[in-house]
Formats: sequence, structure tokens, C-alpha cells
Amino acid sequence: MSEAKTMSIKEQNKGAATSLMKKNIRKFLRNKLAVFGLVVVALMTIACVVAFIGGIDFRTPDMANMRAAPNSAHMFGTDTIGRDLLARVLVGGCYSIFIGVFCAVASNVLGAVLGAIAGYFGGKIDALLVRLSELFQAFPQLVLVMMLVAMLKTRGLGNLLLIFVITGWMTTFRMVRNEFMSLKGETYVKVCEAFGMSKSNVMFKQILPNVMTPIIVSTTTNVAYFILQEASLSFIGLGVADSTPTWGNILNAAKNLQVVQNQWWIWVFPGLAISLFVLAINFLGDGLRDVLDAKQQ
Amino acid sequence: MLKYILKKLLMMIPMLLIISFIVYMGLRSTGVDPINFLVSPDVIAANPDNIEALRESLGLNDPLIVQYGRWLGDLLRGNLGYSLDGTPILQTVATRLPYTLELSAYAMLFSAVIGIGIGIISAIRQNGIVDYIGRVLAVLGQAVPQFLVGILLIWIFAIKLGWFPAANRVSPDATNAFVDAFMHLFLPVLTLTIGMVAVLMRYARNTMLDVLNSDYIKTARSKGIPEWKVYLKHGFRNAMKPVLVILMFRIPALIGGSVVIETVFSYPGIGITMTNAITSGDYPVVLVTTLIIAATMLICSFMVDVFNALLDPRVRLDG
Amino acid sequence: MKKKLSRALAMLLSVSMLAAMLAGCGGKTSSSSGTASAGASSAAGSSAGASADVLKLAVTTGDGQSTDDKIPTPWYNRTFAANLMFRSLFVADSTLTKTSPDLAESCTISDDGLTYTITLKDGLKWSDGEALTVDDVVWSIETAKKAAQVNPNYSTAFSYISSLSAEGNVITMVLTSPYSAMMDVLAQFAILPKHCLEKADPLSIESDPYWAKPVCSGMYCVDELNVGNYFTMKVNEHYEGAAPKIQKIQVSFVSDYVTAAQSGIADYVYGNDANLVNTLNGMDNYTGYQIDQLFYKYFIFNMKGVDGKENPAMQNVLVRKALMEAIDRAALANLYPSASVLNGGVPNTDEAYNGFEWKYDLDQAKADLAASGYDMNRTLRICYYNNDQTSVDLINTVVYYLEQLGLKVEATLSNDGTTDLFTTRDYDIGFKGKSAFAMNEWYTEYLSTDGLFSNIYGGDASFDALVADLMAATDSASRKAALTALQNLEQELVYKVPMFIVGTYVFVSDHVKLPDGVSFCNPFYSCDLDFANWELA
Repeated sequence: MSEAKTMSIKEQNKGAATSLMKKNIRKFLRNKLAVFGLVVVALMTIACVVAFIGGIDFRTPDMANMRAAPNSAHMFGTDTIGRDLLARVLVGGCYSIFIGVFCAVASNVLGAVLGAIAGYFGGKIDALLVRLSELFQAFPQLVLVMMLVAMLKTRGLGNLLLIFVITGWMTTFRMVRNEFMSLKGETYVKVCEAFGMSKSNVMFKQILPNVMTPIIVSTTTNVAYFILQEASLSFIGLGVADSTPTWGNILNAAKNLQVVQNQWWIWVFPGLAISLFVLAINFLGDGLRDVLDAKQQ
Repeated sequence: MLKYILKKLLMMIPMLLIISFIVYMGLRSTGVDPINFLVSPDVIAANPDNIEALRESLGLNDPLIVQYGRWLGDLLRGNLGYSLDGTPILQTVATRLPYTLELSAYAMLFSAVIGIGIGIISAIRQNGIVDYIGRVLAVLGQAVPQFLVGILLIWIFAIKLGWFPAANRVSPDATNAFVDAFMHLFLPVLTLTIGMVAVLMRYARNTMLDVLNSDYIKTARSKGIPEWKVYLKHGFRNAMKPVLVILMFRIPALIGGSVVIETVFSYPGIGITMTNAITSGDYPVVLVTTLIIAATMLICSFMVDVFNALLDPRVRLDG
Repeated sequence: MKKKLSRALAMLLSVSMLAAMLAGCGGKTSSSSGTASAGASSAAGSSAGASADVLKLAVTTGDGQSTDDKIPTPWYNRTFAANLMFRSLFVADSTLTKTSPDLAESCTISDDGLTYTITLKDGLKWSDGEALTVDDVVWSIETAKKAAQVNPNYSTAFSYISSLSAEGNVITMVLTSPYSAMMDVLAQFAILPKHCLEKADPLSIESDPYWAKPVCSGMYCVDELNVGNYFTMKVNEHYEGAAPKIQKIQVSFVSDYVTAAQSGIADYVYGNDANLVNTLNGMDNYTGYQIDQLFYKYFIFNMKGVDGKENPAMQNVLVRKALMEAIDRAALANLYPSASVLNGGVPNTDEAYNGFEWKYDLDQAKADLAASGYDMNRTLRICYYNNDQTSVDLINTVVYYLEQLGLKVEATLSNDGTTDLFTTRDYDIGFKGKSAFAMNEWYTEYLSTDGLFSNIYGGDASFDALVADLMAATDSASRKAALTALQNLEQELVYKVPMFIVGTYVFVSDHVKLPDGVSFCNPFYSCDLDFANWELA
């Protein structure tokens, strides 16, 4: 008897969750920009991954076909040494999207965890972590990149990921910490604590959900940020080695005004790829924010 | 409160020391021999004795910690030292820093006004026409890599149309300093503004939305307070706090991050000086420019803390 | 109440701090526009319409050779602007190998080629009115021997000088052994004023404050330097030759010549990069001049140091041959607007060319590599230091070719392509460029006494005798014999392999009217361009 009753409550909860989910999906689908963003992000990611796994030829130079305009053989034309640009943009997308997603997720997780700890416990741990964040924040990213490049002697993908993660967690950290400091005085937290709930439970199950919206939004926008950052670093010659075709490395050809003027396809396609992806990700982030924002419901 | 501010200020000193120490050791432990950058390799080969003398005269043969102590002592006495090619760094900083500050200040001003303005209007008229156009434009500005925007602006406005100069900050044949400054600053400021507006607009819109959806705004509305007053007095004031935080955080990002834009526009600021110093291994210059940027960043973070404490009494003051 | 007060105070403090920061920006802004207005007022004499009277030049910065806070110094590479300010004892023609007197009145060389007697012109003056004397010449040569930042052309040549003395206006220079290029070197070597620089440390002479407003000997001297932006030059009233027709020159510090030309701030640009040449060729208002010069682009194998530390992977000559056979240099030459494939230090068109050819033959390369027993799992590492798009493209293509051999290849952009080879010995191959006067310089790199390259070839002395033969060769038959022997040896040992020589182009805008008969030389050097008769259209 009693068992049946518990079941029904669980089912009720489940039902409520499904209907909230449905409501959210409906809400998301009503936001045309967000749907557009999701579709573009998904399509581009799939295209890039498929091309990469399919082993598309992005590295064979063709000296007879240097800087060829888009044609039937090369839909996006060829680059300064005759490599197929479509293939390069697709493979470059794999690297760039990976860099963006990996660094955004890793740096936000790092920032959120440290911020939760600092905000919740306060005191010495907080002071230490805040100092640490200020220390990292006070380093120009460029110098850190240079130091690592010089120490490790290679401009590898691994270095770049590491640098982005350790230089990217502070904003989330501050945001989460400040929220935690405000929220931990709230009655419901006190109540949870009074009921003897474990600290990690209070932190991650009770307080953290309240700051999930900004974390999710900042993670999505950070994907875009890191992709752009990679392109900028490549531009000043500190990005991933040239042999790895990231979008930034491909777009590097636009450094030269002659290319900008006369071979539009060399910069327009990688430029479009970056911009479209970043745009889509930002729309997606906005849409997610609108859906997830509990206050709007 | 004053004690809190004072304490925060005092904390900046050890921070700067730690930063200088880490950067110094980091740069020197990379195993890069400054001599290789200072002197061309063919010359090293041709004059090994001269090179050894140069090494000795630059103090490169002492233990690292001694070199750090010497450098720090000089710095505290107001001597910023000399770059490896012999130029006093103070002179370099004095010429270049104003250029960068000028560039950043204008970019900051325009992007704050435009970005926050569009952000607020978008939030008030959510999903309205301004919201859509503003969001698309701002996100476009944020989506196109900044250096590409710069290059395209140079291509269109400096080369195709010939309206603005493509590089530098001062023209040799300028007749009016003000006009000259305007001409040279226009494109780089525009480039930086395009990127910044997007960030500020997003934040202004999002925080304004948060505030407008909050209970006390609803209460205020229900009390019959006029809409404009709700927006201005309750919405704007509360929304500005996080926007200010972001704005503060953008100052150092502007100074340090304008590196790329200074490179694109051959703009003789501190950013391009630092990039060149980094690639040429001129660590005295890297150190000083790093410290300047670090100090700026710390001041901004300090101000964020103070504003936070002032605006939100819940933040404890003993942090 | 009290709390409120302290909060208000704190608010005030932080606001005032913000204000101070902004004021700092503002204050400095206004002070910087103050200097700008000072600059503008000194330039205001030319007025807006008169900018047609100004020749516009540009100096590139950021390539490590010039910086934007001083006048380009003449002792490393010569630049067009500096050539107009600093003169040498002699002046070269466009081949750089025929000289005529400039500061010197005359020069006689003894029959054994060891004693040079140089007479200086009378009444020469620096731009500050001081007399230019033999002391300046002797001081310049002796200081260049001690200076750190000086072109090796000079240090190598001056190391042959055993005694240098001056009396009246005659300089006597005695060499230890004949040095056939001495006159050519003296025609490039700029004489600097002793009275301005004698207190400067020769080791860092290029950063002396003198270079903010140098005292000059040429037809122009510096009018104003605006750090980070430009400098202007005016006619040197103490110049004893015919006064130039162009009264004013402005030189902008730029990051690249293409943008400078396109935005109209450079009437004269040069380069060998395909992008630059194509763009400038496409501009109606520029005329291009192709210059044939010895600009070698080559690969160098990291063998071993004089300390005996060697790079085991490259020791087998078959490996080195295989790598070179796998590269299609004819295809790579397409990357440059004018590149001629090279098989040794001697161009294929020269009569001394020995006929050997590095053929692109992938099968042969694979066979050689298999025969050598090279470990295919090892990563081959290439380093290069030119970061222009053409060099990057070239390296990427080379990596592709070597990957076709089945190798793992990694290319790294380094700060310095030569010293990195032996300071770390992490790289197997370096890619380099060398702008040479003559073939001699290609071959002197092989000398076991060369402090730099001996660290790469392990101080192998097998070239020494042949190079000495070349340096002493006076007639074409002995020169040809020496060059043939050298080519055979270098092709056998395969320490460094040239890809091609790259032609450079000079572009002059139609704003300039050149006098008849001007022919340009290698832009890294100085030669007689009849500049006094240049006019502005």
C-alpha cells in the first residue's frame, strides 16, 4: 500500500519534470534565433567531424593550381599553395570547435568549483582563491602564452588548451563566488544546513542550481570567445603550429592586403566559418538563457 | 569601509611583487639567451670576445635571483631600467603608454555609451525590432575576428576610399593636430568599439532583463510608478552593477588586448611594444609592460570589489 | 550615521580614483597631442598643398632590423633613407662591384694587393659644421671591429687589416693577405662622426641617443623624429656636392610595404615576396624594376659542433641526399615572382656552373632513404625564421614533400634559424636566406674558422684550401677552377643545399621622376642612384 503511494509521488514528480521539459522545449522552439543557432552549430560540427573522420585531403599542395578561384573541382577555391580550401575549412573547424568547446567547458567547470568553494567556505580559503584569481587575472594572457611557448619550445595544440583553461576560469569564479556569498545567508540554505545536509550537497545541489543560468550562458559564449582568441593568437604568430589547420591559421592569409583584395575566397570562407559559428553559438546561448531563466517562468 | 579599502590597496603590493617575481623567473628560465636576440648570429660568430664582454656588462652572468633583486631595487628607485638594446624603458613607456591610453579611453567611452544604450533598449522592448537588430549587429561585431574587422576597415576606408591613414598615430605632414589625431584614431577606435559593444550590449541586456523580471520591479509596477521611472530608477540602477564589473574588467583587456589591433594598424602603443619585446626576448621591456598591465588589472579588480561592497551590503567586508 | 559617512567617503575615494585614472588618460592624451601639434607646426611650413614637394619613403619595423624609435643605422643593413644621410669612402654602381670615389678623392692599391693608400677630399663637413677628417674614417673602421651589431661583411673584411694609419688627409691601410672585395666593402661601409660617438660603447653603439638626430655626411640630414610614427629629412647645407632637387623627405615607420604603397605613404618600396610584387605590379602608379642579385634561399643540415656533439640522424650522406631529392624545387620556385633554381653556390647561368643538377625524384629518394637505414618513426624537425606568407607557404609545401617519403615532419618557426640549430641541436634542417655581394660569401660559410657555421658542420676543414683559392683568384680561369672544385665538394658533402636565388623588385611611384640611366641595386646595399637629380612630379 505504502509502496504504491511512493510510486505515485515519484511518477507525479516525473510527470511534472516532463511537462516542464516540454514547456522549455516549446519555449526554445519559439525562439527562432536560438533554433537557428542550434541548427547551424549542429550542422557545422557534424560536417566538420564527418569530413575529418572521412579523411578528406586537406594537405596536398598543387603548385599548378595556386590561388584558384572557386570552381567545380574546388568549391571554395584553393589557398596560396593550391590546397583545397573546403577541405581545410572543414578540418580546421574540427580543431577550432574542439578548442572552443574543450576550453569553455573545462575553464567554466574549474571556475564554478573554485568559486563555490571560495564563496561557501569564505575565510582563508576564499582569500587564497581570490588572490590566486587576481594573480591569474593580472597576467596578460599573451605573456603567459609566450612564456609557455618558449618553455615548451613548440606551438602545440596541448599548450594552447592548457593556456586557455588556466587563463579563462576567473570570470566564472568571481561570478559564482559572489553569488554564493550572497546566497549562503538566505534562509533556505540555513534550513538545509540545520537539517544536517552535507556541505557538498548544499553547495552543489542547493546553491549551485541558482547560478547555473549564468554558468551555462558563459560557457556557450566562452566557446565563441576561445575560438576567436585562437584566431587572434594565430594572427600574432603565437597560435597552434601552421601544420595544424585551425580556422585561425587558415584565416592568417588575410594578413596580406593583396590576398584580401584579389583572392577573396582565401579569407571569406574561413572568416565566414568562424563568424557563422560564433554567431550561432551566441544565439544558442541567448536562447538557452531565456529558457533556463527560472525567474521568467 | 575605509579600512577595507585600505586593506585592499595594501594587498596590491605583495601581488605586484609576486607577479614581477613570477614573470621575471618565468621569462628567464625559458632558456632563451637574450644575446641571441640582441646580436645577429653572424656577428656572434665573428666577434665572440665582444659578445662575452657585452654579456658581462649586461650582468647576464650573475645568478638569477641576484639579477632579480637588482632589477627590483632599480625599479623601486624609479629606474625602469634599459631595454636590451639600450633605450631607457621609461622613455619608451612615456611615449607609448599615452597612445594606448588614448586609444583605449575612446574605445571604452564609445562602446560603453553605445553598448549599454542598445542593451537597455533591447531589454525594455524584448524581442522588439531594436532588440533583434541590436542583437544581430552586436553579435555580428563580436562574431567577426577583430583583426579581420581591422584589416577590412583598412582595406575599405584607407585604401579603397583613401579617407583615413592606414597606419601610425601622427602624420609627418599634419597641419592640424586635432584633425590628425581624429584621422589616425578613427579606424582603430572603431575596430575596438565594434568588438566591445557586443560584449557590453549582451551584458547590459541580460542583467537588465534579470532586474526587470525581479519581484521588486513587479512590485514597483504594481504600485503604479510610471514605467520610465521604473526603468531608470529601479531597473537601470540595479542593472548597472554587473555591467560596471564587466566594464572594469574590459579596461585591462583593452590595454593588453589592443595588442592585436595595434599590430594591425601599426599603432605605436604599449601593446605593440610588448609584442615586439616578447618576440625579441627583450625581457626588461616585457617585465615593465607586464607590470603596468598587471597594475592596471589590479586597480580595476580593486574597484570592482569596492563597488560591489558599496552596492551590495550582503558582501562581507572582511574578505 | 557614522557608517553612512564612511560609506560616502569610501565612495568618494573610489570614484576619485576612477576619475584620476581617466584624468591620467585624458591628461596624457592632451600632452601627447601637444607633442603632435609641435610636430605639426614644424611641418606646417610645407602646408597642405605643398605635400607634393615631399618625397615619401617608408621603413619597415618589426622585422628585427629597424625599430620605430630611431633612425635606421647604416652598419648592419643599408636602407634607402640612411643612404641619403651617410656616405662611404667610395660609392658603388648598381652591380656593387665597381666603385668610384665618394668621400675619398682617390685610392691606390699596391701591386701585391696589400697596401691601400686613400686620399680624402678636402673641406668635407658634417651636417653640424664640424670637419670630416681622416680621424673619422680610422675611428669608424676601428669601432666597427669592436661593435656587436655590425654586418659580417665588414667584420670579415676588416679582420684582414693589419695596420691602419692616417696622416694629413691620407689613410694608409695594410692587409695581412689580399682581400679581393675590400673596395666593394669600403663602398658600403658608412663613415660615422667620431666627435659625436666616440664616448659611446661600441657594443651598443646602435642604441646611442645620437640616432635620434644623427649628424650626417650625406645630402640630407634629419629634421625631426617622431617616435613610433615617422622622421623627416631636410637638405644638408654642409654637403659639398650638387644640391638635390628634392627639398624634403618624410619617412614613415610602417609594418609592411604593401599597405604603405597602397595608402600612398611610400614612393619607393622593394621586396621579393610574391604578394608584394603582384600587388605593386597591379598598381598603375608604380613602376617596377627587377634586380638580379644573389639572394640565396637554402637548407642547411645540422651536422655536429666543434665540441663533437653530433646529430646522429643526419650523419649519413644518403639521408641528406634523399631529403633533397624529394623536394620539387622547380615547383617551389613558383611561389616567388622570380626565382631561379640553384644547384650549388654558382647560378646555372654563370660560366663556372659545373652542370650538376638536384633532380626531383621521389623513387630515387625513397631508395636512398631505405639504403641509409634511417629510422622512419623518428620525427624530422625543420626550423625556419622568416614569417612572411611566402616562406610559411614554402615550408608547408616542403613538409608535404617530405611526408611523401613516409617521414614524420615537424616545422617550427624559430626566432633565429642559425643559432637555434647548434644551441639546442633539436633541429635536423634549417631554412635560411642570405643576401650576398658575391658568390664568395656563399663559400666562406664553409670555412672551418667560421664561428657560426663551424658549429653546424663540425669544423670540417675540407673546404678551407679551396675557399682560399677562390679569395686569391684574380683571373677568370682560376676563379672558374676554384668554383668548380667548390661545387663538386659541396655537392658531394651535402652540408647545405641551395633551393634558388630570388630576384628582388624595386617599385617607384609616378610621383617621382627618375633621371635617365638610373639602375637600382640590391636594396640592402648602397649604390649611386644619381639621387641629386631625382624630381617630384
